[in-house]
Amino acid sequence: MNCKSAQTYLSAYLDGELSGQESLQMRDHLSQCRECQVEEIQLRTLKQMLRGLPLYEPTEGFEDRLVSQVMGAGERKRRFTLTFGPSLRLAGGLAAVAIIAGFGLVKLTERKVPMTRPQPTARLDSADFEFTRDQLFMAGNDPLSGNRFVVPTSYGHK
Amino acid sequence: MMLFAISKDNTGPRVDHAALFENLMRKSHRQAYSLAYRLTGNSAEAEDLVQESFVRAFRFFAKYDPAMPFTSWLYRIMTNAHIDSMRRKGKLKTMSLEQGGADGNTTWEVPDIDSSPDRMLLHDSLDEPVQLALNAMTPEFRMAVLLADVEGMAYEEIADVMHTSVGTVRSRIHRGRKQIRKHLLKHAPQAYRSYSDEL
Repeated sequence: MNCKSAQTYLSAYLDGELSGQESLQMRDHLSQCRECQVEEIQLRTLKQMLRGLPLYEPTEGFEDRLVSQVMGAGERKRRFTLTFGPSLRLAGGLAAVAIIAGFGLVKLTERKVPMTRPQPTARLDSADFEFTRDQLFMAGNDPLSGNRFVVPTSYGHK
Repeated sequence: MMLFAISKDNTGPRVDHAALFENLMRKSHRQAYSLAYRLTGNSAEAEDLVQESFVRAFRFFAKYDPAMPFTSWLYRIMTNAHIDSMRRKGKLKTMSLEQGGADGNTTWEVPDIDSSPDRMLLHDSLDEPVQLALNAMTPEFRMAVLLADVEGMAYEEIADVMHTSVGTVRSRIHRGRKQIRKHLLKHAPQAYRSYSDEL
């Protein structure tokens, strides 16, 4: 084992994570290499220091707050699912059926849209214009009387 | 009728399920909090992280395999929650986790935590510099070192918790420790050397 390999595996060696063969090779190298020995001591010291770090304690009442919040969140979710879950599924199903039925109904009842503009059904000599003509006469708008005579455009063409 | 049937089917087992979870939570929350504190660097964020982790754990408790220790399963969830949280806050560096000097000498910017209300909780000796060094690491390196050195977990277990290979765990731990040592030598050389001399 050379220095590069030894230094790569030093942490694993200190943690007892090397195989028996690898550990023997590491021990053999360390017994001969001063530089790797120093590295090994420094990493061992660091490991001990990290293991000795104090544990942090949560603030007063954290446990009860935690239990209440976590279980409360779970309970709320469960209650919502139990209460609204089937209803939401049912409502969703009904809505889907209604949409499909509505779509089908529209398709069945839909009329063909005429491609050309509809022509007026009233003819110029129809009863409507006869009536208008009578109205004009009764109002004194007779062309022969000399009064201002208002002629409907369409009638004029007639 | 349908509502009653669902309610009836779920009430019995659910009660035991919740009681079992609550029991596990009461037993493990202190240990989880201490790890969360080391991960986040302050009390408020540690409490939030513990709560978020337990909420997620409760949600997926039905999938929990009792063959795995509960704390290992919880730490797996906590790792993801912590990374998610850092991503949300924009604290996560986008650099690849395995990127950096092959010699493990990658340096990370040290965040300023002087304004933290929990600063007074940190000791003046090595605890504060160590926490600063931990804060400066990427979450994956920090988690690997903490699980190995503070929790005393085996590499295989850490790999399981972190969803990665044993080789990656070995690399993260080794490089993480070297980063801490480098940070201590730079920012707290006297305290570090006096500690080393005592041993």
